[in-house]
Amino acid sequence: MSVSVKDLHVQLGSNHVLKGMDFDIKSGQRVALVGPNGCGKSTLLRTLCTILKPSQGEVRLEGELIQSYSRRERARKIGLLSQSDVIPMMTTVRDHVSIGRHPHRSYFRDRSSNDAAFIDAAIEVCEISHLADRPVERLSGGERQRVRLATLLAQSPDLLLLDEPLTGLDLEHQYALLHLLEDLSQKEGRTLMVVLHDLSLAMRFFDRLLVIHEGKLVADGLPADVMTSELLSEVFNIQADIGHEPATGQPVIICHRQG
Amino acid sequence: MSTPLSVTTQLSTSIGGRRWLRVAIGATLVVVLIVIGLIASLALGAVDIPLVDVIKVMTGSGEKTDTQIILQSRLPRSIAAVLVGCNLAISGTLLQAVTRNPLADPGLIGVTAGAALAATIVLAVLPSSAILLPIVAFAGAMIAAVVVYVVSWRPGAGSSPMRMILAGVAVNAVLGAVIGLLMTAFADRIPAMMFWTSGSFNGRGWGHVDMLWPYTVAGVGLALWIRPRLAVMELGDDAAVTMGVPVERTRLIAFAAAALLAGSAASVAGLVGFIGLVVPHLMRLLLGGNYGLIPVSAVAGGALLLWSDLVARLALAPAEMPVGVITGLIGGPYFIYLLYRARWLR
Repeated sequence: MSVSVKDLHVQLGSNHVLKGMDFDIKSGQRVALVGPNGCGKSTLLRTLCTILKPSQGEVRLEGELIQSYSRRERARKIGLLSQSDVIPMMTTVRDHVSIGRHPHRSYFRDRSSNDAAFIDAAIEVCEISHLADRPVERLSGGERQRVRLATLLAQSPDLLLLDEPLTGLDLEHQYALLHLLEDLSQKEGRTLMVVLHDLSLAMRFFDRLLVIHEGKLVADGLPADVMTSELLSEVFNIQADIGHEPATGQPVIICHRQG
Repeated sequence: MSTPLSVTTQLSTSIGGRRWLRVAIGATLVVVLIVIGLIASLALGAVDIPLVDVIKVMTGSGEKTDTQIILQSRLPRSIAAVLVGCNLAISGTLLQAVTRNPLADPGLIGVTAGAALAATIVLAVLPSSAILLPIVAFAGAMIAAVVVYVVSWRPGAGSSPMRMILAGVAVNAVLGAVIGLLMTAFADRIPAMMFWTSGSFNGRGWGHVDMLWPYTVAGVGLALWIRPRLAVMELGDDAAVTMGVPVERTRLIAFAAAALLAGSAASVAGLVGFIGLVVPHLMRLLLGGNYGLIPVSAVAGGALLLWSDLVARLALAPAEMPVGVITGLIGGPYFIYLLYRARWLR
């Protein structure tokens, strides 16, 4: 699913959070959004999935204005893993994940065999099968994050927006998620926009970086081209170099002691 | 997380099957409770009527006195109790879902305090106009609910569960203060006010049933209509928007339905506590989650209030206790017992 953003402004109260953003994302691209806290990354994702309304500018999906889709059509095309951790009352893991199928259901066709296949697959992929009958409120933070990810996968949107998806995950599941995201884009052609704070992981697992600073897009391109010592200094206010792991050649950020 | 999403797996239908069985057992249980409660309510009272005579009355061949007692007094009273219990239980279920607050009940949105204030005004200032109580209490409940919703509304942002709860607390505090003021100023009328505020079905007839059932039908219909959306909204407003749910519209429908259901219940029975808060929890524990919750809660609320009214009538006969006292005494300890047993809340 291609995404086109033109002159996007978002104002929250008196706070002008996004100050004119332009970019195009091709179908199947894997894009990392990086930038310091409060720069507008989450606001951008929330605007793309219509939780927030832009004060100016437009968002197009496959060339059509996002407002031209019905709510359900939008929900079948765009999914969000947000940072909020709302825990529903007395809801089992399986029930939570099955809610992801809501956009694909009609009132009189509440569940179908197709639904069950998506739900089972999402639960298996996120390795929470052993938790399926347990209430979500009794899981650890990392387990809950995997449940929320499974719910997003059950929704099966073409464009997946993930806001800091690694939060709460242990190292094994962080890498498992990043490899899953690679599979989703490479094997299934899904488009991914992911907010990350770990710049080394962003450079390694994504084929494009959007760097946001103070509500503006300040850099956009291949990780190797975008991530420079100058950019780290200007945007993240750190003195650092871009190095490479000797064994794998993967890029890493090497921070120097500040002051 | 090593395999792609498109993996197809065997369908697991066993969980769905168990769920249906659990809902069917739960629903059967509460329906049986209502049927037995209805029979007992018709047979027992100041004058006990043998079961055979109850059946004769219901088939149109009973004696005149029995027919009058059952058809003009006990039957409408029992049906009113079932409908009020049903209304309060659905109201609580809806409010707990839209506010995402397990402690939400009709009292939270000002409905109870609004009805209580309106009734207190009538009982204190216009005691000779007590016949107006139902309609005035209903109006008070609706006005309070509208005030809570309007106060919780922000232009551009709509309502939010948190603002709704805080607005309800604020409105309840103000209305409670005014009720206290009226009780102080009209101390000689406190017994009548206290009886009303504890809830009762004494003297309720077919007119009250006619006041209730349209709200029950409409409330159940609205609740079932928005049920799939409510499940999504329990994941939070942002998640609901991204799942295609019209959040603000759904919250308004649920709020309005809850207010109408609780307002109509209060206008007929006064203030009956506990049902709206605890019945949805009891049924979640019985059903093992939210699946089938609305219809089963509705029937369970009716059953609980029917049995509570029966106990209220018989426990200290010929005197009658407020039914709210019984609902609290039966339901509170049972709820505590379930809380200790429930795996959900460990």
